[in-house]
Amino acid sequence: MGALVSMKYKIFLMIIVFILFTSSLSKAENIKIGLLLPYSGAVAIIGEEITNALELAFEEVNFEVSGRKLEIIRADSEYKPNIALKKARELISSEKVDILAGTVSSSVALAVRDLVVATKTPFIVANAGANQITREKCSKYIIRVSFSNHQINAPMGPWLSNYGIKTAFLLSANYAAGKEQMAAFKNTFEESGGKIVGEEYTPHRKTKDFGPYLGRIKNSGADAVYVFYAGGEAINFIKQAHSFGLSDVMKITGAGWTTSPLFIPAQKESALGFIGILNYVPSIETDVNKNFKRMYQEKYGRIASEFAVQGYDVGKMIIEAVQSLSGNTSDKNLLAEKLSKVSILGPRGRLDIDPKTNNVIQNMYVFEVVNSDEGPILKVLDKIEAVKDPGTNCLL
Amino acid sequence: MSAVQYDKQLRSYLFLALCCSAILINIFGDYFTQFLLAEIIILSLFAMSLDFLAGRGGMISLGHAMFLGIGAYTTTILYIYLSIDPFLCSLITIIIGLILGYLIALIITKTHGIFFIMITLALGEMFHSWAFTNDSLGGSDGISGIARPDLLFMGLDLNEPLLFTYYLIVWLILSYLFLSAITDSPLGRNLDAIRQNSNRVLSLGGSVKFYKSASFGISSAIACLAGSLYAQLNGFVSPELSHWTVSGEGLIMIIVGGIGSLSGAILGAAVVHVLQHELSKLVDWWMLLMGGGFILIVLFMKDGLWGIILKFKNYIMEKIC
Amino acid sequence: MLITEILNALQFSMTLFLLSIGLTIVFGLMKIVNLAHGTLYMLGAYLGLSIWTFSNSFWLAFFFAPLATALIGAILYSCLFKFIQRVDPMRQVLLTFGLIYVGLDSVRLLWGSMSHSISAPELLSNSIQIVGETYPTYRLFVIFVGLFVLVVLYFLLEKSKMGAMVRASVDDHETTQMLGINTNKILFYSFSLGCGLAGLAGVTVAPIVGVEAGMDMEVLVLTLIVVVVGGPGSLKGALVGSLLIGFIDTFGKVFFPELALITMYAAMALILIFKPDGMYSKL
Repeated sequence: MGALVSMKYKIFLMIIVFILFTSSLSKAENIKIGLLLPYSGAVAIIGEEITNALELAFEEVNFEVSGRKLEIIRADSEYKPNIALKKARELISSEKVDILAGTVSSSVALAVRDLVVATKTPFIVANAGANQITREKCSKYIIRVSFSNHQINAPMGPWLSNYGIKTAFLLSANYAAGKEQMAAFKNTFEESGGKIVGEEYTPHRKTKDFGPYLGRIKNSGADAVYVFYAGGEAINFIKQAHSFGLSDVMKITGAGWTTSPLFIPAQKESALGFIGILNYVPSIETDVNKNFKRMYQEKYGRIASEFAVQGYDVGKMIIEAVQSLSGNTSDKNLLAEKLSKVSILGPRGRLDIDPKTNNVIQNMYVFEVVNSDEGPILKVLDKIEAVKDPGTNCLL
Repeated sequence: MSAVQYDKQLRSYLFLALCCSAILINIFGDYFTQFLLAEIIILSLFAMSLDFLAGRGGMISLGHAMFLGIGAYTTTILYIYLSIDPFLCSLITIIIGLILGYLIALIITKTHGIFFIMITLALGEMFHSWAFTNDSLGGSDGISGIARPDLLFMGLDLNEPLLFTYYLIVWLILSYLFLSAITDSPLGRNLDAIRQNSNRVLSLGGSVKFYKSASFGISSAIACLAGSLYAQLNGFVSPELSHWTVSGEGLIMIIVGGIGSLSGAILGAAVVHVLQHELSKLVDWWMLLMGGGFILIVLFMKDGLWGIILKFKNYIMEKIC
Repeated sequence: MLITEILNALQFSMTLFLLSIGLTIVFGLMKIVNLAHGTLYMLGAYLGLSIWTFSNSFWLAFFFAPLATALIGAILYSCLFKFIQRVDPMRQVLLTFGLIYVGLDSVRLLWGSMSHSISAPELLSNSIQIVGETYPTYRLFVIFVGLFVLVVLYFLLEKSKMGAMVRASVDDHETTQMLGINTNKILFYSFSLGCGLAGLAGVTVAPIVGVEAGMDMEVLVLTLIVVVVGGPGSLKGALVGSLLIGFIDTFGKVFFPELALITMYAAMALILIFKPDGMYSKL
C-alpha cells in the first residue's frame, strides 16, 4: 500500500514537472503576438472568429515578416476580467510578447489597460468598444482597430430621423456597452428632433425571455424600437419580437450586431426588416472584400462576420507595421508609433488611425435585412464615410 | 462528515515547509510567478476557511464564495467611497465578515446535510445576482481603482509584487495561527464533539447553535479577508468572484488537501490552482479535463494529500524506531 | 397586458416544472442532488437541434430528443449514480459538479461555440389574439406540454401499481426492499425518466430561448430552489414550487426590474426560514 501510494505521488510530480517544462519552451527570435480572447464559454465564437481571420492574414505572408517568424500565443480570457488580467500579466512578463491583441469584452480591456500602459506593451484592441478606451483612458500604446460604441450608434440618430422615425424606444442589456450605445444614439437622435418615449435595460446575459419587455414596447406607441444585443440574446430577442408581432406596429432598428451574419442562420426570417448599422457587412462590393470572403469561406466554411474582419485587419496592421521597421521590434515606443500610423485598405474599406485618439477612422454601413436566394442578407442602404470618435478628454 | 486524522505536529511542520517554499518562490520567481503565488496564498486563505468550517464545524457551504465577494466589495466601498485607509479596510472587512457570518448561521443552522448545502448555494447566488445587476457596485463590469495599504513610512512600497506577496504571507501565517489556536481550544473541542454527535452535546447542556454559528462566523471572517486582499491584489473587483462554481472549486481544494487538516488546505489550493492554470494553457478543452479530474478526486481521494503525507510520515517513523 | 404576463409566467412555470419533477423524484429516491440535471436539459436542446437540422422536422426532434436524453440518463445511472448512493452528500454534490464541467466542454466540442436556435413548427408559428393582445401560439404549446406531463405523472404516481412502488421507495427504502420489490429497477427507471423530462424541457423551450452552451447554468439554480422550496420527493411540491417561483420571477421582472433576480431568492429564503424542509417534503 505504501509503495503504491508513493508511486502515484511520483507519477503525479513527474506530470507537473513535464507540464511546467514544455510550457516554457519557445524560440527567442520569433515575433510574439499575444491574443487575449475568450476561447471558452458563451462568447467563444467571437474569439474564434477574430483568431481565424488573424491567422488568415498571417498566412498570406506565410507567417513571416522581414525574416522573422510570427508566433501567436493564445490566452483564454474566459470573458472574466480578473482571470484575463492574470493571463495578460503572464503574456507580458513570462512570455514577453511583442504585441498584445484582444479583447472581446470592454470590461476585460479596461482591466488590462493600466497593465499595458505601465509595461509599455503595444495593445491592439480587436473588439472592445467602450468609449473611454480611446478617450479618458487613451494612451500611445493602445491602438483600437475595431470601433467605439459612439462611432457605431451616433450616425443612426440623424439617419433614422431623416427616414421618418419621430419617436423611439430604447432596449439593451444592463452593462456599460449597452448603456453607452443607447446613449450615443439618444444624443444624436434628440439633436435631430427625435423623442425617446421609453428606455429599458435587461439583466446582462441572464435574460432569456423578453416577453415582459416586448409587451411594454408594443404599448409605447413608438415609431421604432432601437436595440443592441449580441450572442444568444440577439437571437432570442429577434425571434421573440417576431413571434409577438412587434414589426406589425413599429420598425425594429438598432446596432447591427443584433442581426450579425453569425446569428442570422438561427434567426432566419424573423430578422427580415431589421434596419441596423455596422462597420462591416458581407455585401460590400469591393474586390478586397470579395477576395477576403472567398478565402474565409473556403477555409472556415461560413460567411465572415464583422468580428472576423476586425481580426483580419489587426493581422494586416501588424504585418505592415513590422515591415516598416524591417522586423526590428525591440523599441516598444517605436513599434507602438508605427502601429498607430498604418493605413490599410481592408474588406471594410479604408482604415486610418486617428492620431488624436488612436481610434480607427472607418466607414459605417446602414443596412436592412432583406430576403435573397441564399436566405436573409444585410443589404446596404447607405454608406457614411470616415466616421470618427470625438475622443473627448484624450490627452495623447 | 468525517475529518482526517488529527496530528498537530505534522500539521505544523507541513505549514512551516509550505511557508518556506512560498518565501523561496517569491524571491527567485519572475514577476508573473510572484503574482500567481499571491493568488495561491489568497486562495489558501479561502480554502482554510472552508476547511475549518467543514473539518471542525461539520458544515459544507456551497455559497462561501459570497464572502469572497462581500470582502472584496466591502473593501472597495470603504476605500473608494469613504476614503478609509486600505489596511483599516481589511480589518473592518474581517469584523463585518464575522458578524454577518454569525447572523446568517443563526438562521440557517436549522437545516442539515444536503439542505444546508442547498441553502448556502441559494444565498451565494443571491449575492452574486445582486452584485451582477446592481449599478452602484459596478454591475457586471465591476469597479476598479482599489489601492494597496501604504507602508511607505516603513520604506516599503506594496505596489511591488515581491513585497505585496510577503505582506500576504504575513496574513496567511496570522490566519493559520488563529485557526490553529481555535482548533486546539475548548471551542474547537466542542465543535469536534458536535460534529460527531450533536444530540449528545445538547443533552449534556451545550449550546450547539452558538458553537456552530460561531464557527461559521469565524470561517466567513477569514473568507472575507481573502476577498479583501484579492481586491487589493488586482486593483479591481467584479462579480465573478462570488459565483457558486468558485465555492465548488474551493471544496475540491480541501478534498485534495484533506478535510480538517488545515495545512493540507493550503497544499490543496496550490495544487488545484496551478493545475487549472497550466491546463488552460495546454488545451482549449481544459474544462473537460478539470471536470474529469474533479470526479476522480472526489471518488478516490479519501484523505487527500494529507493522508498520503501522514502515511509517509508513519512509514518513516516505523523505519526509524 | 396582464393576460400576457400571466401566460408568460405560466409558461415559465411549466418549464421549471418539467425540470424540477425529474430532480425531485431522484432526490426523493436516491437522496442525491444531481447538479448536472441542467446539463441534461442542455443536451436535450442540442440533440433536438441536431435531429431538427438533419430531418427538418420539429416533431421528430421533439419526440426523439427526450428519448435520447433518457438513454443518456440510463447510462449515467448504470455507470455512476448507482454506485455513489452511500457516499456522503458533499462528495455526491461535487461529483455532479464535475459532470457539469465535462458536459459543458463536451457540448462545445461536439457542436461548436455558435449560438443556435430551433424554429417552431409551422402549425405553431403564428400568434393568436387573446383579450385583444397578441400571444405566440408556441408558448401556449409549452404550457400544454407541462400540463400534459403533470396529468400523466399524477396518474402514474397516484393511481398505478408502479407509482405506488415508487412512492413507497421514497417514503421508506429499506422496508420496500424487504417487501421483495426490486428497488434497483425502480431507481433505474425513475432516474432515466427524470433525465428524459429534463431533455423534454430543453427541446421544448429551444424555439423560444435558443440553444447555447451555458444554458444549463441558467436554469440550474432556479430548479434547485423549486425542489428545495417545494419539498423533495413530492409531485405536488414540484408543481406548487414551480408556480410560485415562475410567477414571482416573471412579475418581479415586470414590477421591480432592478431587483428582478433577487425577489426570487428572497422569497426562497423566507419560505425556508419557516419551513426548513420545504413545503411538502416527503423526506
